[in-house]
Amino acid sequence: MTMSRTRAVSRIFIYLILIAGSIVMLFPFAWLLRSSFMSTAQIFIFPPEWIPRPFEWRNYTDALTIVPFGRYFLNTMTIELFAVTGVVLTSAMAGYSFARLKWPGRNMMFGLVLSALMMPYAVTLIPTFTLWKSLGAINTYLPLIIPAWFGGGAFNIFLLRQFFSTIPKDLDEAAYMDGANPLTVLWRILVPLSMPAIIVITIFTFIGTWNDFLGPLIYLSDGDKYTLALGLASFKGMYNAQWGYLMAASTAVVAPIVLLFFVAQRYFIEGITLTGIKG
Amino acid sequence: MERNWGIAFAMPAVLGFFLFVLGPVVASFFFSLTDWNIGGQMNFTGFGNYREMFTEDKLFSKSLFVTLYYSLGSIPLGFLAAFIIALLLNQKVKGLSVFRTIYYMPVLVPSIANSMLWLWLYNPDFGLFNSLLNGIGLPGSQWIYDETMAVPSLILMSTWGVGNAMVIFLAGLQGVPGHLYEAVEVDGGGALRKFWHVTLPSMTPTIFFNVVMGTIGTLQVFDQAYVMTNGGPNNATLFYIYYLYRTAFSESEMGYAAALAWVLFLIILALTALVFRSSKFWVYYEGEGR
Amino acid sequence: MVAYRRKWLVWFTAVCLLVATACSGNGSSGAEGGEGEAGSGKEPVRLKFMYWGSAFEKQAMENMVEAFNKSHPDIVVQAEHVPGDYAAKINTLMATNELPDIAYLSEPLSMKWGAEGRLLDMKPYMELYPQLAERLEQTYYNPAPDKTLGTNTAVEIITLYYNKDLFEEAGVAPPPTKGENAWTWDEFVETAKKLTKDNNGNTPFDPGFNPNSIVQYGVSFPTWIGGWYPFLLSNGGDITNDDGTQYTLDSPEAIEVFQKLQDLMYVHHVAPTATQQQNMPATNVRLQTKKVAMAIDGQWALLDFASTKMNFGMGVLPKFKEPKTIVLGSPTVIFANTAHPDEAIRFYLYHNDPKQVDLYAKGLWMPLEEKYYTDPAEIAYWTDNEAHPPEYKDAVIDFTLNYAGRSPMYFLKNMAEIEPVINAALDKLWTNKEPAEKVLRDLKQEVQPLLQGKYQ
Repeated sequence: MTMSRTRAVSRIFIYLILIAGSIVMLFPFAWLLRSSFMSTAQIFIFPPEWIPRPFEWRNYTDALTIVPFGRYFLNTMTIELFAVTGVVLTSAMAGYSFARLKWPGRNMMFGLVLSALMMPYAVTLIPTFTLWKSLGAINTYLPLIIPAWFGGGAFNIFLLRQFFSTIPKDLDEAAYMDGANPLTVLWRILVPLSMPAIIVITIFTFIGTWNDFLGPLIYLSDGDKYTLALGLASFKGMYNAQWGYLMAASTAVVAPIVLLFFVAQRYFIEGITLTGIKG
Repeated sequence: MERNWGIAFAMPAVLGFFLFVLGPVVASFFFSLTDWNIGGQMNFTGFGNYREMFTEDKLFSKSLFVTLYYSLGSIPLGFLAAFIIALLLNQKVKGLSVFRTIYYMPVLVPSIANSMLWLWLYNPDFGLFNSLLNGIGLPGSQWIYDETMAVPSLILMSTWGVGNAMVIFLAGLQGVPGHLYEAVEVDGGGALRKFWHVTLPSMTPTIFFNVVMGTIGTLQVFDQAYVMTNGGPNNATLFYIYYLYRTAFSESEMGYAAALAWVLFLIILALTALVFRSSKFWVYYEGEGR
Repeated sequence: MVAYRRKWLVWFTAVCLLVATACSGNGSSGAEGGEGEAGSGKEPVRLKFMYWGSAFEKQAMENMVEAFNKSHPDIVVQAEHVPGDYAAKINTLMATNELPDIAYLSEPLSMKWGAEGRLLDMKPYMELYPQLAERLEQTYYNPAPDKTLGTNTAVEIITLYYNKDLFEEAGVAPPPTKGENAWTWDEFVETAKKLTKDNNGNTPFDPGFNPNSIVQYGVSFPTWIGGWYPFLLSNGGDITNDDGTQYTLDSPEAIEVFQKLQDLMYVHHVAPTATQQQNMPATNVRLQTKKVAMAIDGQWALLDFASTKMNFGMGVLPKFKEPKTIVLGSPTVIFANTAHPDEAIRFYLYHNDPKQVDLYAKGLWMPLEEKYYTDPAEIAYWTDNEAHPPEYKDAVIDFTLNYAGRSPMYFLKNMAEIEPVINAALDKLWTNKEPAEKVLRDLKQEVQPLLQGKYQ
């Protein structure tokens, strides 16, 4: 009786916190959404208003037609397809190797790979560009895709290494006894058991590619190849911005990734991991 | 066999490092020893850039200080916020999917829209924060418009962006072995004991990851200065990378920018190495030992 | 073991090949499309043109390029719109020798690269093309006395906009439209006071005026260089001495100007503070929503008024000693290593020709050639439309012709480094932390070491 009562109280308490936090966290998106339906004049009224009057639906119809977002969407999705696959496959392999398999120079190599994150991109941009230029890859998607197939970035490798390290080694050993090789161990045991982490790097890579501005900006010169992030930026000029359009287009570009996250986070559920197997 | 598989599996990443990372990084070190001005001459100047940085350049020390200050504030704050939120969002509550999405959403809002919102929140005259403070009888603040308050304001703002760290924690929480909870329950332990003896130790690899990434990430903070403050007021938010970016692309002083980059690189490297060294005392991998 | 490795290698190579073919297929498709247009006969010259601008400007430029390509079968211009981070991109292209033929370029980079010989010297072409030679003299970027890298893409000046209804309501005479009638600073402050109101409708003249609840300001002015440099010139001051080697922002003239600008915010309370302006919309909306009665801004803001339903007017800037404004903007340049300088010049002359681009008639740009400021028929060509108010001829065209100096970007070396240093120090002024005299005196030791003289 008392037990269930304290539980009920703590339940309510959790809900209260979650709801209060939600209101706070919803603020930026609510701001974006309300601005997307407003005239520029109303966006800047102070103190701010939350209800658009009138609803400027034209922000959406105009913004999405002035800039060829349909084409940009297809371009972005093309990059996504290759980048996400590459990252998941090669970073899982590397993460596995760095976490589990012993080979000479492994830890030093891991340190080197990780150090790539510590060098500010602004000074490696030009030599990297030279590299792609010598490969004849300027104005193609190659510079945006190929690195994904070579380990997929230190962030992802490191993350998977951490998650793979938490899985008990006796599982691998049992599999080896049954005649499995490391590839099957990775594919049949580690990846399924680390599904939440795989989902995390999938989401992050997808969003990172979706929002990547500098990469496409530097490497692409043909407007027909531009991506969504470049399309969004074109509403902001040197001296002025078309705020209503910018906000509407931003909302439209953000909506798919909100949806993606909503769907993907369902994989963060206990039960598809260890508990089910060892239980 | 393990050795060959290990090398083979790491091969794409290793090749990637040698193909796409090493060359540019070495090149940048070479630049740092020159006075290269893009579009102009490139003369070898030895460690002249480094000497200038430490003896003459006031903006170097200023930006380094501002950046360390920001990191020192935002790493622990963001870390705690992300961890607590992840614990909350791992409860079995109704509408969990919606809650999780909402808590992640600030990360997705484009920084330009976000900065407009924060410019209003922080507005000294009619911003929300000062209205709230005045409402409960406290004096307001000049927030980002004040030299001493600017960095704390940006630290506060950064807590809205803890979504990524939170998601990683959330994923980590799914890997906490359920049978260990059961063991604690059998021993008659409560929620606190479960957290202290099971959740926290099992989470150390993830915690370690977030600490390392938090260090690397916050020391390279850039967006807020670029979009919101332009480094102001009076260089109070002149973050290191922003200063470097300005040197590289606005002044085209690539030689000097490369020297700036290498100093930051070494600082981050040293701090990361420190965290790695410490890890054997507190990070616990189920896959190893035991 | 070996077998495993081979298997893996095969698998990996297959994936790489797959990706490579998929991507290269993607990459080449665009180029093939371009090849098709080449047509018969001689191979046309290909030019790359890179520019920035909003989606609105992009449309205008795309139309212009299309028209050019149609009327010039021997040249194919490929235009590339860069939607942001232009400096990062152009520096990368310069460093890796991947430059376009023609491009918009920021003023400091233009002067620096011009001095380095990276940009085409247009002096020789001025004799060939009168439309290149007969432009407003302020608009030429000359990195050396005998060299020019061309002019602005378009002319811009700093001007004054106001809401006519507010002036009528308050019964105040509108800003003068002729330079010779320009308000003195005191007249300007007086007028601004009459147009400032708190939430009870009190002006600063009324006893109950509350400066903490102002709903309508008399005037707003930008705090970047365009907002103060015209006044500095008007008072006979400057950033440096004549040869650009001595810092002079601590002169009495300069201190007076900056102090009076600060006073607009904090003594007279007729202008929003720098902080308040951060939350204010663009000039047209400020005036339309009656947040301010007058606004100092660039001529380019006129574009936005076309879509704003309001009764607005334009006037000349108030003066200290001389009536003054500045010409500013940034140039379009041709890179020295272009393989086709003659074709590039032809496109250069076309790309901002008022007869080819509608951005002049829309209010965004002002023409470069002097005839558009002196010949009534030519003036009418770009101003006889809805975007330009009737007083435009006096307040903008004649004012530019007779009273416009030029932004320091045209002549002062190392502006890329100097400007952020000045801006950072002026933050103390605009936030009322310190008075002008102290700020400008302290600034000397920071700016003086950065001075490298002038370009000519």
